[in-house]
Amino acid sequence: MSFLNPLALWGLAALAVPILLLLFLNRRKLVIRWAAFEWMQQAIVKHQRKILVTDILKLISKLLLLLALALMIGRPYLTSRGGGGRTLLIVDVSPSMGATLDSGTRLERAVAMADTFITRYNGPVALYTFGGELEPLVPEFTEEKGLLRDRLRAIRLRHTYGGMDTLARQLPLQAAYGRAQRLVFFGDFQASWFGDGPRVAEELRRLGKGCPMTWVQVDDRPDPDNVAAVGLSLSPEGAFAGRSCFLTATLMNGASSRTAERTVTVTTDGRQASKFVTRFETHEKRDFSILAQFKDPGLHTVQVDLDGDALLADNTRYGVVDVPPPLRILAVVPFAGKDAFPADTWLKAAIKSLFPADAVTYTSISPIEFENANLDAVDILVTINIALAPGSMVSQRVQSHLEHGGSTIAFLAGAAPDEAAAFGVAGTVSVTPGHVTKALLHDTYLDFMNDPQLKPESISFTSGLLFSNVPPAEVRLRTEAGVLGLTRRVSRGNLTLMGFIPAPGYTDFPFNPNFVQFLLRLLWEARGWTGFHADNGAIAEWRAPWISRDHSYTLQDAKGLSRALTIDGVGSTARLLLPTDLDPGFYSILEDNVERARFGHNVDPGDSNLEPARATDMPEALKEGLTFTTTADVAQILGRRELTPWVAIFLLLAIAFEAYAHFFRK
Amino acid sequence: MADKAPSLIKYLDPDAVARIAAIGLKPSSRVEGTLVGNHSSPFHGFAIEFAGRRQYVPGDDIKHIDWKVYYKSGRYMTKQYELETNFIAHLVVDVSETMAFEYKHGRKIDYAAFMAVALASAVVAQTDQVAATFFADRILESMSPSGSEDAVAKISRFVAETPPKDATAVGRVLTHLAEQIGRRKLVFVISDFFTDIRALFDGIERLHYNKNEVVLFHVLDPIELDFDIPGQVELIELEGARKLNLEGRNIRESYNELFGAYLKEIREKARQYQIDYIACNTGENFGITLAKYLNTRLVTGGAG
Repeated sequence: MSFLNPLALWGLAALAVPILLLLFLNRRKLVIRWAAFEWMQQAIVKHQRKILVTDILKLISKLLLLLALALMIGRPYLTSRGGGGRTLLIVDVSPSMGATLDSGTRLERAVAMADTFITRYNGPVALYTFGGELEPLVPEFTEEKGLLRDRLRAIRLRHTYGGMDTLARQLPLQAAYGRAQRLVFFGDFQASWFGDGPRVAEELRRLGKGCPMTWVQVDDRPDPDNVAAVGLSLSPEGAFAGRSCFLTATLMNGASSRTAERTVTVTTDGRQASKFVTRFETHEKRDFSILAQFKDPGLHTVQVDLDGDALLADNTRYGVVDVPPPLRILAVVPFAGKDAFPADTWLKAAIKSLFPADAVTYTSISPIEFENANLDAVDILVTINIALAPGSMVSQRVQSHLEHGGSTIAFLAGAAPDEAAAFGVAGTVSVTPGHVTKALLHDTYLDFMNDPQLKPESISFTSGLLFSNVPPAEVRLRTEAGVLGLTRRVSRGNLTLMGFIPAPGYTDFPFNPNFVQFLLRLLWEARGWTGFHADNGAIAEWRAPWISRDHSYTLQDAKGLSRALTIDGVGSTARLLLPTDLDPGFYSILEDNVERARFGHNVDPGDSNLEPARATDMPEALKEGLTFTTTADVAQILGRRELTPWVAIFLLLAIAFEAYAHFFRK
Repeated sequence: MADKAPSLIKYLDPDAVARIAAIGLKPSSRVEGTLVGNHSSPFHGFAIEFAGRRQYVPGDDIKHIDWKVYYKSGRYMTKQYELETNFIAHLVVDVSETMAFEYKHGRKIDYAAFMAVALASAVVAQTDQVAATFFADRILESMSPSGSEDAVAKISRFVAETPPKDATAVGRVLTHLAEQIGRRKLVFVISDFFTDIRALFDGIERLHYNKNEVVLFHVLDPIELDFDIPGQVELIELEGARKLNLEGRNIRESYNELFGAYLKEIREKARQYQIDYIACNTGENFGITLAKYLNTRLVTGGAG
């Protein structure tokens, strides 16, 4: 006989209490010099037998009562190794399962426990892993223990994770689940999973119908040391060769206690760039700004490391900064007259405030000059207040530029609704030129222009054009009045149409931070440049305009090991399919053995909270019939029969006996 | 050692004395005193209360001849009168070791002493005489009859200076006493009567034979009447060295039953012998107990 709450057996020590009390009371007896001794002596002689029996009865009844109570709380059970039901085993392979224990990792412990289960359990078993996705290792129920163990030994960590909702969504899709009679899940169930009790209960209710579930907690340490690098990004301003740029590293402490000093090391291109020491409060998540500088254009690696804890995998964050070559911008603007401000004054000023002098080449020409301009050396073509009407020279040249993979941003005058018709976009002129309206800009990136503190001439648009037939995916700037900006792929290039032109002339408009960021985004996106390449645990594909079936592509890790990549799709939809079992680190995509892209692959930061759940965290789940245990031998749990009802009967008998001893023998 | 002043009598309770003196104490039957007093004597003589006539015999004072009878009948008859005398109250006080018992209400011997002193004071105050006998397994001290307050002081002093010891042999003591005190006395026995009841009433019978009036004051502690002590108790015999270990809660019922039977037996016997039996609970005021008894006695004229 074993006990579910063996600690309750300490309650058996209470059996000594009545006996000790008896002894204690004997020691503390009252001593009286007694006169009526003869009568007392006769009384004792007369009732000696009665007293003895009553005392013994009372003592026995008290002992029985205490014994029954201790057994009741201890919940005794008998075990048998049987079972026989079809059992679906799931092993958690999420990143947090890489956390180290006193010996080995959580995953190794889970595998060992699953192995024990397979060895001892007499019944068919199917085997799955779950790390954000359910992966069948042995999808059909089998009693071939050798096969199950072989698959078990092949289990490796994934770098993605999934919560209860993901499991509840995916599990019913598996054929084995429909046939399973019970489900045993080995994992490091984290306290954060059970934050929303009712939702968890609802998911369990869905999962547990006709399929009793046992969750086996492989790590029940109270509060493992748990810091993690959960984010790394480049500031929106981007990076320019020879210039300082800002990276943001997000670090956190998942533990419920303050950390000791932790060392953070930043490495760029394999060399240590900076190092600092910090400390984290309980559950603190903090952003650190990192200043970096890259001398040459190209791809540069950035790595942020926290010194070691229980889970090393999430202590490092990998990212690749793409430092672009100097940007070549050609602006086509109408001639404004001798004394007037050119239409691109604001653009020039904004570019000047945005980019270092040697990071951009800006040239402005008239539409007449544009007819013979060499567009091969242009990264971004910008037209301002130039009509893109069908058949016009400018439209034809823009289309030609797009066909060659160039990018174009057109600020349309809004003089006529068909200005963008050459690119399949219809529009309506809806605002009075020269005025900004709340309806046009409310709740958009440009909302600041409604600020009454600003001078009207500083913020007005010369016109406004609302586009009417734009798919949602193409909308770039939506207002209450309609779509004011869009981006669409035309041929091999990117075309951005904006239905407004900022006011020409002297203005502080270009220096407004909001507008600068807006413009910067337009330029970077038009260029098709992504300044920073890093993922959050899942990277399934790589999309780029240069991908072509005419070339072969391989993925190479930092150690130089290569794997061939498959191309899916053709033309502008072509993409490279990446393997799903990548370890965290830097990877390069080679086109015909020449590097075309590089990225940093990271573990999913959502799994960095290592604090294990306890049964007390999941009252709702337990009510749904979930068995939550840390017991290594789970087969024993499945084969056990609780004796609590029998103990309850025993308790009732003990109470009845106590009542008899107390009242009837009195 | 000089005698202590009466005001320093240890066991004198003026309130109790005042209470019972106001009621007064009269023997229920004729008494034989040594002095002229207020109580009826069994002897007839020539005093105030007319009792009857008898035939003149030579030698009788002729002044007592009832001449009216002579004129009517021609016979010489002499008038006779009842003799009134004082009475002698004998206080027989138990000073055996069981009287030293105390639990929460003081020693029984002290209670007995207060009663004896109060009775003695009341008796002396009505110009009667008091004698005292202190006993355990034998008579330890006898005080001859006296009508002075000094007798009261002596009673108090004896109890105060004599530690209770030895067993009780009240039956034998009363038999001896009967031989010493003669006839028609008032005998107050103050004891816990932890003795053989048959022997006790043998002694009482002997006193009765001499036409003595016996009153039993049975002094008991409340805990002796009802053994209400929960928990473990060790009892050590007062008149010996034996010990008993027991659980008070368990033994209470049996003990009360047995002790109650013993009390009932004494009471029945007292009724049978037509003597007054007064149960004295040391948890109650002795003055009130005495006053109640004397009041009852005044109304009923005593058991005898």
